Amino acid sequence: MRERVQRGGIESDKTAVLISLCAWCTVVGDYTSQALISSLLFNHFPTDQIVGEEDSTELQTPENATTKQNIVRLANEALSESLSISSEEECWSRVKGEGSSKSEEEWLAIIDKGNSKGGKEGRHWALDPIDGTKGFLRGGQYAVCLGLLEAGKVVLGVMGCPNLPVDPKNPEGEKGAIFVAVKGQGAFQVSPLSLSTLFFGDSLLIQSCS
Amino acid sequence: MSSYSQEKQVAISAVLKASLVARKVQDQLIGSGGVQKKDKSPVTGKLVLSLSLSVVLEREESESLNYYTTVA
Repeated sequence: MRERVQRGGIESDKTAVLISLCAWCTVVGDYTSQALISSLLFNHFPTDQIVGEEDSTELQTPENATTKQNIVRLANEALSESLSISSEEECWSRVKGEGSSKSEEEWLAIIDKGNSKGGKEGRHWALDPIDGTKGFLRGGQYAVCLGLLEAGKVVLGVMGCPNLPVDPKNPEGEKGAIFVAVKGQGAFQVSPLSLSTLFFGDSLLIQSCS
Repeated sequence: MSSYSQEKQVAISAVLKASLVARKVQDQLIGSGGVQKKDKSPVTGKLVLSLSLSVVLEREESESLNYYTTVA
């Protein structure tokens, strides 16, 4: 059976569906997150470099065609969705201004632009689109991690934790937290933190944790 | 000193959008029953297709569609 699958001779519809599902749930999450974040960063800071985790090499193979299509579809869906928080949506409006959707080639090019090797000169964004794949796979904790380095030194970090309780004293309560740290300014927790309600919120409060 | 206000705003916007997508994708995974890894080795994006294949093989052998079993 393993050999049949490796040769591409998948004989079972069930097998094909399961491969597609699992690949969609993990690879797609990584690539789509990197594509979206990179698209926004390059729009606002075109001369900055991004040190990402993924490139499109694996996606270019015929056996990953379905996965690639899912990434493109999901990225375009996310791009078209609006965030009700005006300041957040304003940032994305510049990307949306380039077109309501992007082609497969455009998304893959964006992913590949995140292939900087880093260095001690200039500005680099370090990105881990899904930090904690193991937790992600089992439905537990993971984080979307993004940091900015200037001349090799970290000056800004933002971490999104979709499954982390908003209030640590209420672990069964709302989940979804974003943490921000800026050099010389301390660390902050962004609230409201329930990502599911951000679409309906009308304000973004920032509480200092420093 | 730079306040990094623009960088902060853009970074929050980027992470927020990506977090929403990741949550959506994970919801799909949880809905499927989840996937677990026995050992403590890191799980990387490049391992995912291998993990998926293992899931499929276990499922194929068990002929069960109730839930995903442990892989890798």
